[in-house]
Amino acid sequence: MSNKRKKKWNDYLYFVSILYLILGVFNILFAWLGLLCFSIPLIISLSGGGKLYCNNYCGRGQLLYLLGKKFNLSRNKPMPNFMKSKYFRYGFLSFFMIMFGNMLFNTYLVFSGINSLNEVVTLLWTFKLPWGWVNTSFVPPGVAQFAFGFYSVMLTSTILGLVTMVLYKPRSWCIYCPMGTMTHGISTIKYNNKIKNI
Amino acid sequence: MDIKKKLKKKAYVVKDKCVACGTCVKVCPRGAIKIIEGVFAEVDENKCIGCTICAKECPASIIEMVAKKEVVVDVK
Ligand code: SF4
Ligand code: SF4
Ligand code: SF4
Repeated sequence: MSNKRKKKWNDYLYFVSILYLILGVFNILFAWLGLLCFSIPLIISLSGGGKLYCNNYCGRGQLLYLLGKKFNLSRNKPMPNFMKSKYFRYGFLSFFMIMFGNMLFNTYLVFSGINSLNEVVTLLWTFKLPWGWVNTSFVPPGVAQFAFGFYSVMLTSTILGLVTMVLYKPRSWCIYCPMGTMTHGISTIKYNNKIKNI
Repeated sequence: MDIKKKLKKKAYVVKDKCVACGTCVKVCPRGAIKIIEGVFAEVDENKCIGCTICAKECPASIIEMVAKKEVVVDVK
């Protein structure tokens, strides 16, 4: 179509998503940067910005779209109905948060010296990949443990995103992405309160 | 001159199923879709040309093409 939108700087944020995963291979401590894409969307929606992050600044969503659409890796089929339901979306969010809490607890155990540092990245909460080629001895073991845990979360969600990108539509992940579900939930509560008060 | 009335299709978002991901906004060639407060997407019927691109791209497949406006077509 002739009237294509001009590309802006924030159309290239998929690059950030790729860079994040690469940096984590070189040094797991970069995984800490991922806290930004946890906190920024929440801060935005809590301060009334809705899903501005999803809509304009999320590199993950852009990357999935790029791979599915431009690289034609997606089957472009509708998702099964159950995956689009509130039960599944909030169920997945709960599961995700429980596993996140579990990861924080493990970090705490290492932090307090009860457990020693475990240099593995866990995929899909099950498969353990040895990741011990980086020297992290210059930071406390707890700090490194959190990085391993957080990188596991990011890599796992990327893989789930890629699988549903291939099976269904490019941005299928955005339907059940925990960040998206949280920001949508916050925005919905704010919106409902607003119309109630009018 | 023979005048025929034709129904033109417009995109319609099923709001309570929308997660406001913004995919439709990005792909619409006419800039006809807006996300309202991060809750749902809304189509501006005056801007929508019924191209169906958004309906194909919506990951939740919840954009329907609905016959909305009557357009008068000249048939010579
Ligand atoms: S739903 Fe998740 S992956 Fe999709 S744009 Fe929002 S934060 Fe990014
Ligand atoms: S693409 Fe679909 S789910 Fe996403 S904002 Fe548009 S209508 Fe809603
Ligand atoms: S049908 Fe085409 S013009 Fe209408 S809202 Fe969808 S993408 Fe935009």
